[in-house]
Amino acid sequence: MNTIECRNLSKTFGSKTALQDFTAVIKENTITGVIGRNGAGKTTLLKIAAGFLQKSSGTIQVFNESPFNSLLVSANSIYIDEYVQYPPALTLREILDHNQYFYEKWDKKLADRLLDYFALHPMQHHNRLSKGQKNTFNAIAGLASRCQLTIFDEPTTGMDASVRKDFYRALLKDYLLHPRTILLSSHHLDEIDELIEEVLLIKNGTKHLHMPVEELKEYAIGVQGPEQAVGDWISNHQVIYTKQPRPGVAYAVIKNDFSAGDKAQGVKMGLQFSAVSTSDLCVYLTQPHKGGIDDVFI
Amino acid sequence: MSLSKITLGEAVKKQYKYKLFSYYDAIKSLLIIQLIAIVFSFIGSGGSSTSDMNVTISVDTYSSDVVFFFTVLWMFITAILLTTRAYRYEDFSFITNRISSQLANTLYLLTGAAAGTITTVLSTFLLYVIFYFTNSSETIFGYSAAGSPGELMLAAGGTFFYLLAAAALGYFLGVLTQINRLLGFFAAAILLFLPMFLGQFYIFNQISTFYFQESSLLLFGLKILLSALLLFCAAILLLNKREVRV
Repeated sequence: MNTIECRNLSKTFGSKTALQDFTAVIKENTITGVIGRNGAGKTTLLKIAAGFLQKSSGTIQVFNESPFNSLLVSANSIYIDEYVQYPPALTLREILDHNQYFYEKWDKKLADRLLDYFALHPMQHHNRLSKGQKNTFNAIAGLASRCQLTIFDEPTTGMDASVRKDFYRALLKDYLLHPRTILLSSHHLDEIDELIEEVLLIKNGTKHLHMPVEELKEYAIGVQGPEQAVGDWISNHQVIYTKQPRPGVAYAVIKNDFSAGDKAQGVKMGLQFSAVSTSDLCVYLTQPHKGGIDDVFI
Repeated sequence: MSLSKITLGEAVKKQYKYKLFSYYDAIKSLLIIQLIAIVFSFIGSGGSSTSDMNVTISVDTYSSDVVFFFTVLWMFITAILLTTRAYRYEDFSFITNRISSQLANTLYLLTGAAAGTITTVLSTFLLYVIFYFTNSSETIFGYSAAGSPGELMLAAGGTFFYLLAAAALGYFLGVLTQINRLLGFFAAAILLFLPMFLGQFYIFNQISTFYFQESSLLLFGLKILLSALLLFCAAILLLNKREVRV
């Protein structure tokens, strides 16, 4: 069964288009990494799925219901980002108690133990936490609510490295014990590519790629060698990215759809083949222009 | 996959309980405002005195009108506050949709009006008590009538309906402001300020007569109740398509 189905989903804010003709299916009980550059439309997609925003056109179904104003979707989903608002009068303890009151599957023991582990004092107030602490607390709420659709929109902003690592580990452990559909957006794909099963890459408001992360690891390959040889060899292949590490030497990332024979020929021409990390690949895939920041300074 | 089911009624109930608990700042401000009002009504009051040869009669009037007026203002502001972004967004940190969040707001405001009514009515007694201990005047009028069931019911009923009117009006104006700042401003100007200056105009006159010159508490209550219902329904409809966490 599918948790989310989008068909030709579009969303505009005034004259700005945030999502355009977005079509994707999120399967039940998967962890999907939602990846894209700033302003690609990740947050818009996630907020529409949570029922916060209204689509402009197309369809979106969450648990087979339109999420906007759906109590079913609200009862079975939680959206966590750094801007989650809680009443300033409540202490962390009281916020957790209210979560327990609302969410049927709330795991109080897990929430209490995580609060204790991350050294958040139960009598503190949410609005007086630091950015990292706030996000840690929100993430605890997201984990303990055990919602069938759990959405983390850049949950680790402001967390220090060790908290971030712990959070991802906690997420994985809890997911294995209680499988559910998790959407996780992050800028750091290299941090989460061990965790997620699927990658949904968004570029300019449309779906660019949606595949298992294992496939993405094999999706492209890097070729480096003398400029001439690289140029000749890649001319028959789909080039994703090129750069010149040093004069006379070229590096290209191409789609991994060539034969063993092609590769053997390339090796003969003095080319070196290397794997491309998923996070680098996503950067290359979503680059708006050929080239990079260096081209700005020419 | 097992999904949690929740009905609208349950969602409203949960939201309402959560609001009762987490908006205790509103109740705190009600108490503070009434205490200030009591001080005011004790200091500032009308008085007159006449003297004739060797007899001097001095009459001082004390009333809890200030308490009532402040409470109406409190209700109005609280209602507006509930429509502001922070309060609306908070609801969506838990289970809700737009209707359940707003129905819970309405229930909360009704509760607030009831609480305001009780404390306003009781403030008269506090005034008497303070007066009894601090004033050497020999004759205090009104002691006997205070606390009689008819008096209490009349005071409580009147206060409650005025508070309800303030809540409904505040909530509606707040919602208009959320939709469009200018719209809210103009609506407030038309509803609140223009009548003060254009009191002589026929329509404003009629409106004020319709509501405020009504001598039967029952009819007054009915008029306010229906108007409040209308305003709350309009507000709920207006906000029902409103996006949150934009």
